[in-house]
Amino acid sequence: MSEVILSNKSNASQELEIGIRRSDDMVSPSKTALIATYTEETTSTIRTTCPYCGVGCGVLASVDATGVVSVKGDPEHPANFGKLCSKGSALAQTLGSERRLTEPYYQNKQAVMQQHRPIQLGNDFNTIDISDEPLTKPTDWNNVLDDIATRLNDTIAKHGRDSIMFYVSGQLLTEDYYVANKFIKGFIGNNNIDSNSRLCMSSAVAGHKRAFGADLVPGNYEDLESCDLLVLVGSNMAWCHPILFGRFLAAKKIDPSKKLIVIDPRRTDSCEFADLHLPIAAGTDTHLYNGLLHYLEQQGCCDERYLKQCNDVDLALEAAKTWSIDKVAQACKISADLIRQFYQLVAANDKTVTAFSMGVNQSKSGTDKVNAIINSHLYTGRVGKVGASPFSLTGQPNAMGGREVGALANLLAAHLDLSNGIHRQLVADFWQAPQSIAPEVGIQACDAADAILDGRIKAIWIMATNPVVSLPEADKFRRALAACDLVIVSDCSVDSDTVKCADIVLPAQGWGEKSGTVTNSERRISRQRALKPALGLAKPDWWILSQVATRMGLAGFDYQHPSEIFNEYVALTAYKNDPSQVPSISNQPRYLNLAKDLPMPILNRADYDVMTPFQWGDQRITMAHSNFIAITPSDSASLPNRHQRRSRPEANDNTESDNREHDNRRDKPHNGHSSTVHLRLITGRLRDQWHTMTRTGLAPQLNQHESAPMLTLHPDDAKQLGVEKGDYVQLHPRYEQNLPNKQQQKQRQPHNGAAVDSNTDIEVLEQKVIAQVAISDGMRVGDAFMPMHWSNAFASGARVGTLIPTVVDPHSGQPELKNSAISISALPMQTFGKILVHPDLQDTILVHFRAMAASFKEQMTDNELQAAFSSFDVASEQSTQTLPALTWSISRQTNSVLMTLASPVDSIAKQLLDPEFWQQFIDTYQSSVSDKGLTDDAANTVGVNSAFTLSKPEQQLRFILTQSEVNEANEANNEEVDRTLPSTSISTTPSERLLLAIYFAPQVTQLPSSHWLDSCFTNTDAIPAQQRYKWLLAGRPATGYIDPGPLVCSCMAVGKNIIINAITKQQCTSAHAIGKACRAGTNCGSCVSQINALIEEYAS
Amino acid sequence: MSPFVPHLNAQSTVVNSQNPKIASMLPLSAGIVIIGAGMAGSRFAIELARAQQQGRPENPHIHLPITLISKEPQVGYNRIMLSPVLSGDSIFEDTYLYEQSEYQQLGITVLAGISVDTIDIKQQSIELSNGQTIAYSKLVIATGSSARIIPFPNYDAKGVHVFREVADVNVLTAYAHQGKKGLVIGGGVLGLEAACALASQGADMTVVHVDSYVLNRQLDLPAAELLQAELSCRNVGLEVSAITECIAVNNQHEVCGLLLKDGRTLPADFVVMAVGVVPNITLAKNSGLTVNRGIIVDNYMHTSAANIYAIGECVELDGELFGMVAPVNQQVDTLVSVLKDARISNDGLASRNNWHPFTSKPLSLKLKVSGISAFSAGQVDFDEEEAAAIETITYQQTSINHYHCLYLRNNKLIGAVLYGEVNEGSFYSQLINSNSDIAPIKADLIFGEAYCDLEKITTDSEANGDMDNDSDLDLLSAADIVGAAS
Repeated sequence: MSEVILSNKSNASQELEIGIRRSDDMVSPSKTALIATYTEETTSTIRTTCPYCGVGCGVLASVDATGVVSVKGDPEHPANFGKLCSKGSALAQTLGSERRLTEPYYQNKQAVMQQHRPIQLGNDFNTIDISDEPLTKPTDWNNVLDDIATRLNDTIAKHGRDSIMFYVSGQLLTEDYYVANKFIKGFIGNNNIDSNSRLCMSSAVAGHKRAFGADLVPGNYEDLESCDLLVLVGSNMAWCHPILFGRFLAAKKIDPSKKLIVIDPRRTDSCEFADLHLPIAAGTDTHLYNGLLHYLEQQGCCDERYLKQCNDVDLALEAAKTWSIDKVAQACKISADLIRQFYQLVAANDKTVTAFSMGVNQSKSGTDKVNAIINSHLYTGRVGKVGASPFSLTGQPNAMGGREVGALANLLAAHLDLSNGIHRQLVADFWQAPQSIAPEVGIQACDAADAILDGRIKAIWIMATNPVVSLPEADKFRRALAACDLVIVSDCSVDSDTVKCADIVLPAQGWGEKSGTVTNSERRISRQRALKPALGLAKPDWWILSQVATRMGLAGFDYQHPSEIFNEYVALTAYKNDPSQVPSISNQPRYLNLAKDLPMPILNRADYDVMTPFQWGDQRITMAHSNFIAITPSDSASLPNRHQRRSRPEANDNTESDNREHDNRRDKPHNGHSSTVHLRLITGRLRDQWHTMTRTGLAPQLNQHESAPMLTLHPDDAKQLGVEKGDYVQLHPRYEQNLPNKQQQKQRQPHNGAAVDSNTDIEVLEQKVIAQVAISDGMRVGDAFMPMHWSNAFASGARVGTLIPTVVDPHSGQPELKNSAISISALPMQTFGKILVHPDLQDTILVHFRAMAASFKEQMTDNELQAAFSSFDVASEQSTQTLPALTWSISRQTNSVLMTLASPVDSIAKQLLDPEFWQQFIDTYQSSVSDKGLTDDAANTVGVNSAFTLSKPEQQLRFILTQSEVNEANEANNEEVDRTLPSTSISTTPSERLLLAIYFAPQVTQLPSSHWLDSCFTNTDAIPAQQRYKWLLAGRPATGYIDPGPLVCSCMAVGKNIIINAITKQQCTSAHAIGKACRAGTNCGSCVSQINALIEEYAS
Repeated sequence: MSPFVPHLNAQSTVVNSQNPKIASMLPLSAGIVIIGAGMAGSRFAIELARAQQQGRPENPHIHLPITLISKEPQVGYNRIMLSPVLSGDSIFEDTYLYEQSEYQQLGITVLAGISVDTIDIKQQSIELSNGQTIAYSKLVIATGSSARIIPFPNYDAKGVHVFREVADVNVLTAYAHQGKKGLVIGGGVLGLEAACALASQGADMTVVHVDSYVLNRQLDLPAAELLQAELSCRNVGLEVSAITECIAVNNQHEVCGLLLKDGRTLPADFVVMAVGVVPNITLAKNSGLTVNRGIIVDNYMHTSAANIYAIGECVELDGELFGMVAPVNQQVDTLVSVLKDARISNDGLASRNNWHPFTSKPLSLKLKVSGISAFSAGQVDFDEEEAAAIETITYQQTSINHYHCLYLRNNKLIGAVLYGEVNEGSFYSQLINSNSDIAPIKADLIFGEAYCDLEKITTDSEANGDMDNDSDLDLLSAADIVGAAS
């Protein structure tokens, strides 16, 4: 079997040899020029593509002789012309071996899931004895691939073809995507493949298909520059697509008459540059655009010629005609004047681009929103023209590639139609599939949990995505994985929560290792290229898939190189692609024909290696046929309204109180505040983070923007709850969580609110979300914003997915992620903590916390447990036992990992404030170090030192742990010493490094800042040894610190340097003056002569 | 209380001899006479003489002459330095507080090896053991204290010693050099210092302490435990909560051990009793001065008799005795302020304004055993009721046995125990003494002076002067001059 395993070196180096310089879009290898040749000695520069958003920026990556990578924007890439955003610029920092998966392994997922529960007092830590069996068991590729093949075949034999599902990702390259889609649709024989694009772009896909007959984005990036009016709908472009936003702003700078309108419930950073911001109530976009269509009709803005190729114009106009500006204003809860200004600007500007993103797509009416937007463009003929087009901004780097190869349960391949029998046959023929392609739409992402829990799906393979964080009702999906017979997860990061739920974990290559193609938002296909050999045993996803397929006995998966897959895909797009012969169901030509866009239909490896970015379907697509869609939104704008329970008598402004219905029930007032406040949860991105932070979380500077989970509220809502900036709140979903065997659970586990799946007996705790409050008047009253990035790997309870009900768009299956009914309540904390920890200890310390919470529970009776939460209003419905014992979040700093902690439980706080608790941690750590042997070199001696300060009864603890090493090996190899240590250091001097710096206090403001402390993790020895622990405990160096030097006055403990400083800096010219300045010589006086001698020597 | 003394003392002769021996034979005039040349007496003599010179540099001869009478032949040595002498770390000559020539240069008449038999408070004269009578216009009693001896059965046996004077050092060192087995009764500062010093010189030492941990009046339990562990490392044995029944002797009435109340007998070749000191008040008492445990004085160091003052370990103020350097030095400073212009000081009110009253301050202690650093200041021991109002801030570095504990009440630092590293001791004792409200620097206090912005804190008005005042200056000026002269 070994010969089928790729030789990484040869393949990687082959690709690494190539860098290309191109100016036009067409592939023409003859024109390419080498930028640099990869050799062992020199730095090589490789053209590749950024793996973050759908803009698809070109990246120039330089790899030096030691393998260190640095990146900058590719000035010749037509997406970004040399610019990179904060995330792209930090790519090189995410390429280390830290937090990577490097070998395939089997996992006792039930035990691991037990371990990765939130730290709650309710936990029964010892429910499953996990001490004897190792949690994971490494394996090799040969075994694991055979095993997967066997188990998938067995599953099919036992449960049928439909019992297998793939859940894939916009992080995959087109080649990976293609193979996954071909594997399951063509050869396993079901359409149970869905991508995380379901959460991202599927409403745009459905909208495009409804309007254009196929998933076609008509415009391109240049239209953003050449338009006169850019309308952003549901897009915080400044944060989420910053390079494109920059291109528009640059054009606007040259021509300030260009206008920007932002339509978003939140006043985001994009609004800073906007001429107009419409803070419409969430979910009311269709009303706004129906109103626009009606307005355009009234103003006579139609493009008669264009309308001739459109269907259903009248139906759409009819549906829109009741939407007067006033009615829209009422529905959208903004002023009619704002709306009028918006409509007037659109009517006046032929060159209008409407760019939309997740605020549109992630909605139960997402597809209608897309079509309402497109309607306005169709009516004015502003489609596929220079500076005039609707424009879908894709979220993920290769969402477009996935759409092209059809890797969604309702798509086929090559923009062919799954519901079209001719298309299915065409694809099956091309693939030489053993059976016909099933006509039924497969199981979609949001249905997967039910399908697993119902027993329809027995095996699921998840690739490069983290659904236990990102799906709505995320805990339900987590429960489903716990119950599923076979869960395979391919990923590159240990920090994926989904990895913890797998039976088999496969190490996939990450960015910088894998090689293939991606398609960006403007249909431009670019190469992602390998920069360095893969870490450990990591493999490309296409290879893993092909290997399993082959070992299952399937033909057509003997790929040796991604170019072979790409060629096959190109051939499929061209296969029988004659518009007259094979029209799509809506009679659109098949625009996707890569063979037409490439200079030659088959690329050899060298051609593929030097392939330059090219756009398929021409620069702009002028549709042959388009459809208007009549939008008939219900009057109830959005889901949360149905969940409103609390009256808000003080909110007399109608336009501000949409989130609250008036009824009689009120929550218990608490100190004049409400104990809970009902809100609408809007999720979204942060500027510097990507997805679940498995990559961006590794780059220290990307964690500075927001380093802990925050919930942003309008000042009025914060006031009503009585919380201030930085206070902790708990977020509660307001949907019926459909727990299995709920009654049964209650009997079995009367005290911990946990759900136990009856099949597996796994206790999967429903997790509460906890965040710190941020306050912004950029929020609408009643709205709350929380980032979607936080996972269990980075925070104890901040997975917003657990709060979101599964409500999907009927056309696209895309879930509503920005409009969820929640309530929040204040969570008063007993202690706040900040821990800076050496990255090596990050996991150990969390295990220690868990053990603490568990042992705590064991020691306490229920009454004591109740008393532990006595600070809470137990009369509120809150079940005290499900409160977190400890809330934490993790943020990677330059040299350390910063943990932010808080505990609402008095008795837990006491424990954390006990130095003995930390001494136990040290003992655990030391024994684990000695077990591991820490280093290969037995000559290294390791000792740990700890110091602490404790304030009673102020309840402040500061605790420092350092490790000193005498590395005798250094003596043996002086050359090495010279390279690694400053020349002055002596090899036998014990060096000390900081491992842990712990600070707990009753108020956040009493904790030190972490900047200087972080630097101490690499520079511990730079702190004077005498002062080291005090400095570290204080969290900062002493002001005006002078190394005291040898003691002169022993009574007052004053060193020589202090006295010299008094002489030279404080102008002391007598022993008397020195005594005044530093107390030297003021007691027994026996050092005064020494002091006088120093005065003589140093006073000038 | 300070009666008018009408004479400018016509009979007085200014003695300015280059030779103290000659001076001792000269007829003595009624100047300022100091009985006792220990740390208090000798320091007072020198400081007063300097103050006189500074006050009237143009005419050094108008002041009252100063006579210093020393019972011991050695004048003005630093008794605290005897511990390093005992341990062999210092030689005796290092312990002198002032150059011996200093006394002559300042015109001080030194009478060494002579004791005072009586004081005639009516005649204002004293009678020396050599039969001489000296008249005084001001008399300063600085007779110090003696080691306390508990009269256990056989306390007078051969081999029972105290540790107080140079002579004691010599005897004890001899035991140590022979590797004898010794017991120190008393786990106070002096006892521990003696035990460590003797152990380092070769003796096999054990400390017998009546309380449950050593230095129980100065240290808290964690610090004491660290200290005890350190003693054990130095091969100094320790018996705590050990009550001595009697000293065991052989038939030559030589020490052979110590019988404890629990029935055990600890063998020993010699015993050092280090159970505190008693003020030397016999002379004062016999002369009719009011005494209690010590000689009763007021805040200006006046005794009950006109023109008689007392300073140092022999005095008692408000029921308190003073055994540490700092308060004794302050008493010296007070008395210098009172007597530096003795002629006009008798005028009363006018000069009184320049007097610096002595007030007792919380004490700080620095343990002087080489290699062991321990420091204690203020109040560190509290009963239960007190403890409820106390905040503590502790610092601990376990691997190197550093321990600091600060005791606070109402945002004021009232006590500090430092063990292992004591550099911040003077800073803390200053804060304790100044009674400052440390609330603004509370969070940083434990990290030491370099972290504390002292400008933020206010000291209460009563003690305000202490951080920065004239008495401080006086105290320092002395050192200045010593330095300049050397």
